[in-house]
Parts: sequence; C-alpha cells; structure tokens
Amino acid sequence: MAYIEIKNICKSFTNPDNGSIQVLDNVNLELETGEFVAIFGPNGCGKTTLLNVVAGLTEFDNGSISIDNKEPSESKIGFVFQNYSDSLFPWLKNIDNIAFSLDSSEESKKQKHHRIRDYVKDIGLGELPLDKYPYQCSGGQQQLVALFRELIYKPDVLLMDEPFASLDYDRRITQQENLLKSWEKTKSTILFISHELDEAIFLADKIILLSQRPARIIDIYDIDLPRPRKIEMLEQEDFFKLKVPILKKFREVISR
Amino acid sequence: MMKSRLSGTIIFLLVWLLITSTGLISQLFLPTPVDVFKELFLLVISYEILYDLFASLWRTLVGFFVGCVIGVSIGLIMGHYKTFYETMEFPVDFFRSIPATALFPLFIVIWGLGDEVKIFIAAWSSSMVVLINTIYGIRNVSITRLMVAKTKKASFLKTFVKVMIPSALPYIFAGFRIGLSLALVVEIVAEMFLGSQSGLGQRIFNASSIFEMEEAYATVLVVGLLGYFLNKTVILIEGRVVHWSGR
Repeated sequence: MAYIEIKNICKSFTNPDNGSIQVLDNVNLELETGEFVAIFGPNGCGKTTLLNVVAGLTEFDNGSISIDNKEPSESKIGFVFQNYSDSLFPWLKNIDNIAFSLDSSEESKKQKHHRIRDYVKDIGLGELPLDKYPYQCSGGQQQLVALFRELIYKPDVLLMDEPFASLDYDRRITQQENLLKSWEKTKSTILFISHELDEAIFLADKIILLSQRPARIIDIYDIDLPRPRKIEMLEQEDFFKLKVPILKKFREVISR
Repeated sequence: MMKSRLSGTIIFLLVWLLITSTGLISQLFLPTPVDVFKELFLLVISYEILYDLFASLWRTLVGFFVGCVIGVSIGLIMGHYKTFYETMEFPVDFFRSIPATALFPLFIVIWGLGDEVKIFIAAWSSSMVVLINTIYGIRNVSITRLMVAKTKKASFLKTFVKVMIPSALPYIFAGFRIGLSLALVVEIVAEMFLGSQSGLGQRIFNASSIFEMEEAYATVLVVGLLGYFLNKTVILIEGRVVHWSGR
C-alpha cells in the first residue's frame, strides 16, 4: 500500500443559484513517502479543492483518503497557502508564528525558540529576521516563515497551494531553490499545486495533469531529471523533452 | 504638522475675537476669548474647576471601563455563536437606536440621581459601540488564518485566544475610541440635565443659568480639551497594542 492513497474522490458543491457543480470526478492518486508531486491543470479546475480535501478542510462526497494508514483528520497536515501574508499572524513575531505549530504543552517558550533558531540555522537558507514582525519583512522572508512554520511541524504530508504565484520571477526562482534545499534536508512528502509548467517540472518527481472542471486525472508524468536540481536545467534539452508532451496534452485539455 | 496645528488654533481664536469684539455676536452671549481665558485662569488657580474636571473624568472612565468589559464580552460571544447573535440582534439594534438621553427618566427610576446613574449612562453608551465593533471584528477573522489553526489541530481555546481575538483587536480598539468620546458626551449631558453636585456639565449648566457666560465658556473649553486628550491617549495605546493594524 502506498504512503498516501487517494481513491475515487468525488466532490460536488451545491449552489443555491444553479444547483450542483461537480468539481472532482473520480480522482485517484498515490504518493510514496518523501515524494514531491506537482498537480498541474487549467485555471479553476478544482486543484485547490483537491488539496483542501486531502487536508481535511473540505468534506468529500465519496471515495477514501489514507495518509500513512490514517484518515486525513488524524494525520499531521502541513499547508502553505497561496496568500502567505494572510496566513501569517501579524501580531506575532516571526519566531512566534513558527512556534504556533509546536504543541504548547511539551516545552517552555524559551525551549521552543531555541529549537526554532537551531532548526532554521540547520536548514540553512540564510539569515531570517526571526525577531521581527512579518510586516517588517520582505515577501520572500514572509514566505520562508510560512514554510518554516509547516516544516518544523514535521507533517505527514506538506500541501502547497501555488505558494509562489504572487512572487516576481527572480524571487520565485530563489524560493523554488530554497524549497528544494529544505525538502532534500527534511525528506517531506509534498503535494504541490502549480499553474506554471516550468515550475512543476523543475520541482517535482511526478506531475499530475488534471482536466478542466470537473477535474479528472488526464495523465501522470515522471520527471527523471537528476537531483539536486539546478536552475540551469531549465535551459537544457532534457527539460524540453519532458515539457513538450505535457504542454501538448495541456493544450488539448484546454481546447476541449 | 505642529505648525499647521498651531495656526489652526490661532485662526480659531482670531475669528472668535473678531466676531465678539466687533459686536457681531453680543458679548452677553459669547464673551471675548480674553475674558474667557481670564476666567479660566481664575478657576484653575482656585482649584474649583479641577475638582469638577476630575469628577467628570472619573465617572466617564469608570463608566467607559464597565462598558468596555460588557461590550467586549457579549460581542465576543455574539460574534462567534450565530444563534446567540440572531437571538440578540433585535434587542441590541433596538436599544442602540434609542439615544441614551431619551432613556434618562428610566435610568433615574432604576439608579436614582447619584453617581451611579451617570456612570451607568456612560457605560451604556460606550458598551453599544464596543459591542458592535467586537462582533464585526470576530466575524472578519481571515478564513486562511482559521484554516492554519485547523490544520494544526489547535483547540478551540487556542484558536479563540491566539487567532480570533487578536484579529478582532483593531476593530475593538476603533470601538474603544468612539466609545470613549461618546461616554464623555453623555456624561456631560447627564450632569447638565440630571442635576449633580459636581462635574463640568453641572458647572456649565449652573453658570449659564445665571448668565455667568465667561465661566460657562471656560468650562466648555475644558470639556473640549479633555475630550481631545482622551482621544489622543486611546490612539497612543492603540498604536502600541495593535501595532500591525494598517500595515
């Protein structure tokens, strides 16, 4: 049995104006432990709904989800939201934002802070102003705080909903590299939504291509680029060999 | 900033001087600023007005504090529990729509004519504003932040204390600011019309009823300054406590 099994998931939303809208249509997905899987599909196809379902934030109609043989509600879920600044608590310093993930009963505040500082240093993504408030930091730094808050939680699965969508291209590249570095250190299992094919190929082991709404799985692509990935790979032929068939299929999907 | 504030004050005083000294408004009804400030000086050095100032300030603050405690506690519950909100919505909106001054006769019946009724009136008026703002604050908690708490399996208590209340604080403080101004206004009015042994409102009323206009206006100036500084104090505390607001 795979580490994460998503079986026959269907989901419809009922809407008072035009009845029921089906969003997910029989989605089946398996993730191995430590795998980095990207979900790619047209805008509004139900990617976020799929992620919310896996997170246990949205109920599903039928099917089953198991994470390490547990229900999603019993698993530790990490979730990095697209709107990172809205997911941070502006009344807490960065370090306390990260400490929000740590169970309050076990350690004193001082021990937690100590652990967080060590952890951030250990992952080694450079200086992070832990004693500042989020609003005093750049977008990239806020994003890292949001990422660290999830990583230190040691989730069974880390769900990421287009986390870099609102960043400029140069910042996005930096953050993608940061994410890969921390992923290689923490060996997290990641389910990552992207609306950017280059990003999905650069990051993931596997790409799931979804159809337009209701989302079905069209195809699954293995990305066998060597690791650690370097940004130069985006310029190489191997990259294009992987990209062309996915892009072709994607164009078919959106022209339907 | 300081300069323009100063020039605003000077213009105000000059206009006042102009309309009174030219006889545009009879000095019987509005004395010149010079006379008013002379009177104010005398009232201050004899401590008379300070006694009234503290009496009004004390009752306003006690009433405001009680109003805040009531407004925030009920507001938190109403903001979070929909059924409680629906039950309370009509009575709250109904009483909020009635000017506190219109309820003076009822309040006198309940509380008599002493300090209690004046404190109660300040508490009543400020609690309404604080209550409404607290409800809005709790209802406007960002869904994303609630989802963060949910994925971390935070208990209801942790979510409420660490996510919902801080989210609502900027709204609650806006309520404090408006509520305190309102508490001072109704306090002064209550002192004028319910009769009182002390207080700035009582002094304005007594002085104007015997045509001591210099004294009445000197007291009005003190009321204005008191309101100004109370508001500034809340803004100062607000900036410290909800430092993230608007950023």
